[in-house]
Amino acid sequence: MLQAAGFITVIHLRRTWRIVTALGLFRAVFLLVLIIFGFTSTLRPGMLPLQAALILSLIVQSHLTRKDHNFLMSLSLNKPVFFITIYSLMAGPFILLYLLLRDFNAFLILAAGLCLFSLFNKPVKFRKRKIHLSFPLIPADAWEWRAGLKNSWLILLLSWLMLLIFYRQDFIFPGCILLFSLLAAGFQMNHESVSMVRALGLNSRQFLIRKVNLQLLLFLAISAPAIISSMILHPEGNIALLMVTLNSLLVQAFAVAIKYSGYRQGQHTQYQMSIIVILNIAFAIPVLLPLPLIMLAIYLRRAGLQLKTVLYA
Amino acid sequence: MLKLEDLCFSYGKALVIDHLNWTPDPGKVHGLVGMNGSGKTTLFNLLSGMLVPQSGSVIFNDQPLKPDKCAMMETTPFFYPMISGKEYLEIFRLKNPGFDIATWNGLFHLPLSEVVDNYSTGMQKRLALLGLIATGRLLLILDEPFNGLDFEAVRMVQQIIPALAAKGKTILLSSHIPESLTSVCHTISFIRDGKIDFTLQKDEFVKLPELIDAESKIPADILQNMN
Repeated sequence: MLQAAGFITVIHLRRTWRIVTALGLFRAVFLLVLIIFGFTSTLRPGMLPLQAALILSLIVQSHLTRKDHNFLMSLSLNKPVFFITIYSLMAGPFILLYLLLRDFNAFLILAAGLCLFSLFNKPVKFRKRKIHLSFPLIPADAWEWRAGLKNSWLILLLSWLMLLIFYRQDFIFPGCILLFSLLAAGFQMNHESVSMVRALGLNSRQFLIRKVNLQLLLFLAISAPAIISSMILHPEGNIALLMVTLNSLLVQAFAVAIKYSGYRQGQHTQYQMSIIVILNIAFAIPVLLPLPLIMLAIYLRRAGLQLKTVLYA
Repeated sequence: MLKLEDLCFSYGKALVIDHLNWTPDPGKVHGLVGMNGSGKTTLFNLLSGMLVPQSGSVIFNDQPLKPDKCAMMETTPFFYPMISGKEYLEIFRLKNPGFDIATWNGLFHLPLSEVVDNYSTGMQKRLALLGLIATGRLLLILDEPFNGLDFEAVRMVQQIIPALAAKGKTILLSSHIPESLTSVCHTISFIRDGKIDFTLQKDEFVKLPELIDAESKIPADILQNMN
């Protein structure tokens, strides 16, 4: 088992190297700077458990969304002990670091988390919800929203409920806007069919403007209760709220731009959410502050060019 | 000998495998045909250990079938992004060190040093089949193996599969196009509503279109009235 885990870890490292080199120099350096920044800023005393939780969340996300069940089953490796071994090898340097720095909270979070999630070795299947809502008030050409809200209306409802219960906590309002921003941007990660894009009868520029407008308006519509309540209840936090809202609006426009810059019908681009997550928290990291605007400018142009190949106009 | 007895499985309230009984002979190639949603893939997932039957039993060589006795090739094989063909096969060699990659690739003609992302659909399917062979398991399951293969690859698979069966392996393969199985299988079974409806031996394959058409033939008047 250890030999298999070691061998597959080496293959994963080689694959990662290929992926990084395929990114190109600029994006590879940018990624490296982000990782170093994230690592060093969470090395401060008291921050190591947060770092451990972040590393754990990355591993858990990839573990729960993996599609190699059958492949590993054919090798008799789809077993908790294999996952514990391989994840321990991958996170080994961090586990050792926490032991050396005597931060046992961080060590326990990472080590116990790895062992716990390794027990889940079957594909995660979400039960189909029995309640199917339709949203006739949403324009028909905002198909991402109609489909997205069908899956996420419960999260929205719960978030608004949280706002009602914890309205005295000022941080809950920007927190909810950030969550809505991620949720709404996530709606754009599934690429519709070419016939739907062409059905609107617009040229590439008009189509892009329409889509960005819809995204911004609908995002504002779901965030409005949080924004207005926060302005009334916690006016001292208006500047922070404004920064979060403006940044989230940029992220929404960017989500549309990145989708259509690499548009291919039927494609699912969930991996692009990692960029959106980084941009979504850009308001809190000074070095990243201008990033959403720069990225939006670059990707809007690319989206326009890509849509021209689909719409011939 | 593989023996499936009174096998049941449901997704929620939808019963997909309904008290299924099937006894494919060892060392032979057995085809499984059925309409979309008839339970072919679910049945194969139950055999490979991906799903656990709610009742019934799967016996292989007088023992309950364990996942380490069989290997399955999915309709759309999974590959880690940016893995090379050679790396993919080397993982299988961990369990079967005797597998000679170079010799087998003499038949499959795959560019093993390339990353799999650059392979065509047919090449990816051939690589997955090579991986399946590399496991060295006695029970091999191939779900829709001919999907996405060019005619040359189909011919190659049609030659390799009986050769593997001749070496004592029991091979189960599915298709929703019955004609694709007749040249390669010793028996063809038809699955309908989660049960094996009938099984035909090789010399009875001529009856297959007639038996299937009894259920799915479009009435002549509808065909005539089509615009």
